[in-house]
Amino acid sequence: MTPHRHRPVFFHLLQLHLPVTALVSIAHRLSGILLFLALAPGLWLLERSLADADGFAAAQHILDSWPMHLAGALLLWALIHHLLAGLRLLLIDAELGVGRRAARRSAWWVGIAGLLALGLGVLWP
Amino acid sequence: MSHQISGLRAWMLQRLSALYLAGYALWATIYFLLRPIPDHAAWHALWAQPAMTIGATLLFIALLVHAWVGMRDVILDYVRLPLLRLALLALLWVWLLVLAVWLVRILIGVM
Repeated sequence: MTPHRHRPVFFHLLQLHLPVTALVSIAHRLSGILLFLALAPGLWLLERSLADADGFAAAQHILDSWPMHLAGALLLWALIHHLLAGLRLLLIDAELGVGRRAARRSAWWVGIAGLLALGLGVLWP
Repeated sequence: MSHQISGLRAWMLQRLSALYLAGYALWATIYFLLRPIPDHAAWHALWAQPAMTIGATLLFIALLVHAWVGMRDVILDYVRLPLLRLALLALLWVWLLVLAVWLVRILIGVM
């Protein structure tokens, strides 16, 4: 199962100069893990909000608290970044934007759109 | 399961579920922007519709498949010890199953 037992490993992350495509890729994975972790709390909120009017109010109250507001903003970033980075890969699968310049440009767009979503989530009233 | 859903098939499932999830996300965003949920009654009524039950079930199937492939990739990439790897994959399976049962309970509860 593991043909290369002694693959070279270089983990000095601060010395690596990663291209934007790599950063977007790492963030794609990270955002996916975040979204996965959010599934259970999300279901809990859904159950609570559907139970009765009190539960609905309680769920709203929880979402309005500032730690949850920040968590929500982070999840919005995760969702938008994961969605756009995924669509970018689907386009690349379809051989659109495979070249280095195009791939870097699309990676920039994905990263920026994600950060805009994060800003929007933080500033959301 | 892990060897049935591997390689090309996992890749395909990941992308097919991704397309469904992307479409659903777009639809949900537009829907909730156009029709914000004012109170519990409206929220409950929305989830009680058969179309919503079917849509949410399909969404969740796609979500679980997508999460399975993605988290499986993460575990396979970073966990090298075979036993720990197997244990985590089993845990992931159980966890996704728990979430699925939970959602079914919620959906039956509002029907």
